[in-house]
Amino acid sequence: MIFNSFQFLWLFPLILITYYGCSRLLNKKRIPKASNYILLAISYLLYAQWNPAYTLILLGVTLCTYLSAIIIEKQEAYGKKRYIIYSAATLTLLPLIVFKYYDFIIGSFKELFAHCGITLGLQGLNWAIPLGLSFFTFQAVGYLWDVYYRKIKAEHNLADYMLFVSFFPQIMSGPISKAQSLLPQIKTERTFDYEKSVQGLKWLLWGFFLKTVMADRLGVYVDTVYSCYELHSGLTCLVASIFYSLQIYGDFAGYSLMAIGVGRMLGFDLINNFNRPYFSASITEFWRRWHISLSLWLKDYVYIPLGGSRCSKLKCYRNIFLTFLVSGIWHGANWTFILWGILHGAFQIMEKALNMQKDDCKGIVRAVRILITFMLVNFAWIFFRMPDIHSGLDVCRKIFTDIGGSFFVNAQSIVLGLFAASIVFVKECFEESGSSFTLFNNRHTVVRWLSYTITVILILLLGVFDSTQFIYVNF
Amino acid sequence: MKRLIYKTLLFIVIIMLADFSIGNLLTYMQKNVKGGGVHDRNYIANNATEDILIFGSSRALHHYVPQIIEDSLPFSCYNCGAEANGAILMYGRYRQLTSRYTPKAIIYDIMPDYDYGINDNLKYLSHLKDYYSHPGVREIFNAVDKKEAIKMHSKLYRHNSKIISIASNFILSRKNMHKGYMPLEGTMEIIPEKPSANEPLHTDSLKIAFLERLIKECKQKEIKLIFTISPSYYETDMSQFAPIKELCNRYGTALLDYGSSPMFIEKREYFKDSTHLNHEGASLFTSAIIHEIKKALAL
Repeated sequence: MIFNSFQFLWLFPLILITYYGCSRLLNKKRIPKASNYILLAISYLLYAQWNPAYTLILLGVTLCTYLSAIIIEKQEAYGKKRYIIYSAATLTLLPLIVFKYYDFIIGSFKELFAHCGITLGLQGLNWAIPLGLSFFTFQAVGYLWDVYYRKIKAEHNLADYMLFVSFFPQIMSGPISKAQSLLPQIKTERTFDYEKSVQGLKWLLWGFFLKTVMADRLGVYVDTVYSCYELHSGLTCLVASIFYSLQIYGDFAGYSLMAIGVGRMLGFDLINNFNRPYFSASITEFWRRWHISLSLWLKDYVYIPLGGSRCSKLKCYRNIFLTFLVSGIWHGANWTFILWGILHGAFQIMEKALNMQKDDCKGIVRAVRILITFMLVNFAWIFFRMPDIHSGLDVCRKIFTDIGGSFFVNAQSIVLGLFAASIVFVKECFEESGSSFTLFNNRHTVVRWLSYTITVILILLLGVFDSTQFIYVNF
Repeated sequence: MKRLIYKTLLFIVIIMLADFSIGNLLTYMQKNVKGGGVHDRNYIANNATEDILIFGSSRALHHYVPQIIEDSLPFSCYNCGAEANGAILMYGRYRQLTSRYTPKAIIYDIMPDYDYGINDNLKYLSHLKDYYSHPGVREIFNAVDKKEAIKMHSKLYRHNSKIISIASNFILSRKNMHKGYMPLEGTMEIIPEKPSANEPLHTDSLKIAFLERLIKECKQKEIKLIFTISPSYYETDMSQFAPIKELCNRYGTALLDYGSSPMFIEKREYFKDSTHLNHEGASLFTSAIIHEIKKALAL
């Protein structure tokens, strides 16, 4: 279910009422954990709505990791345990590899052999990628490794585990929850909490604003320029790249906030996925603030198992590089994403080598570092957005060599997009500075309600409501 | 839960009041603009009575000079072209105009992507939202997306994305002096690479249906409908125009093809960019097409 869709507006209130209403009714009839069964049914029904056949993939990944975790836990021998975990992880990752990467791998080999004059007759699959495959696969694999490392006990309640993997607010685009965070909440009885629901609604509203008003509005300009970047000046391409940085933040942070808000309304506390990432003074800090759940996953299941930073400098650099290579590969089946990941890895290696990864600077130094970090991230996003490396390099070349020339003006998207971005910027400046001033959580009821009302008015007047999907849904 | 439901209902009431008051203010402003694009849209919807109408996307808007047509033919002319729009908006404009009078001819500049290509049809409703109550417009919304009927209850939603244009057009009084036509000055700064062959265009059945309705209704009302393919910097890929050619053959509708005219191909001085003629190019093109229009109108 897409959160900024018309369907969500009428379906989610029904889901909420059904969830709490039926839970209360069934609990009175002493049917334990009725709310979990209801949520599980809703999660699978919503997933089936997109493509019923792909619920089998979801079920397959769930059952594979569920059974494997139980076997791993029972296994005493270290060698056999390792064999089981690697087999289970590979089996779990198999659908992701097949659906997401098969065509890319085949295509890349074909291109490579074509350069040598050899034609490979391999056909691609051209299958649609199951929604949320990258997210729920990583969530399930993370659980498996947590059981292996004895961080948690294997979950024996199949229904609870199925809900953990398929939980609908987060299945499409995260956040990627840890089992030790979400499973205990699933096992706890949840009743309706007014304060939690109101907070959830606030996050839902603000997430909606970020997505429809800021992200999608700026996206109109970005799409217009990037679809024919050859015809635009370097200055226009630079502005489009900055707009894209804001667009992807609004899009992804907006979705995450909505997911967390929906989760909160259902009584769950999901991990906060964003913490004002563009206020980072280093790339290292950026990854502590951007897509936090993925960063934690990569740290716990890739970086630390490789040795982390508890090894020689060279090995540490290798570990950083490999971690961000995996991050790039996870983001998409294209060399552009791999290059994007490598760039971030390279930036962090340089920071570590120059001892600049610490974020303890203040004042003007911090401001300059924030600006530099933003430009580095902005530069890397160009490759994230463009369809191939050649186009990405072309855009970069234009920015650095053709900064003159006319500036493409699309008054509506620029003015409205910047207006929305400036509202977000001001709000985040207050938060970053630690100010207690807030609008949605202001102690005066009038201020709060006025803020909610103005936000809704801005969404209705400035929001983009045609077919714009969340960027990270494609992963 | 009851407390949340009551407060939510109260909030909805507040939003409805805000929607009604601000929405009506914007509607008043939109109806009383002094100039600009909003004024042009109002003119087309409520006041235009010209004999010859130009329909189409930005290529219609920038390629056809009504003054040249009026000087050459004994008819008045207005350019109803709209940026990034096609069959859906144009059919809507046709219904708005013909509810008040019957024009003599419509010259429709075809742009495959907007007129029958598959893309999001919701964006083509934007210029019709302000005229939702006009005859024939509501059924267009229903045909595109039935949910739009629910959304259109919101007066704020009707003015979605238009607050800047409404406000600026309400304050500024610069009217279009070119009867809807928007001249582009200057020439191409960057010459793009010659495009490779386009992928086959998959047609949108809804847009094709609107084009067919336009053709049939024009025949019924004896409005001379002439489809045109105006020039681009590079030679037009005619495979993209196969659907409109098929429609024209089926209904005996004229199709004037200037997509490969040597008068314009790779003539930088006539183009503002690779798909839009500048004013000099538009004047030349309009003069060239007059002779064909005269033939089609049997003058």
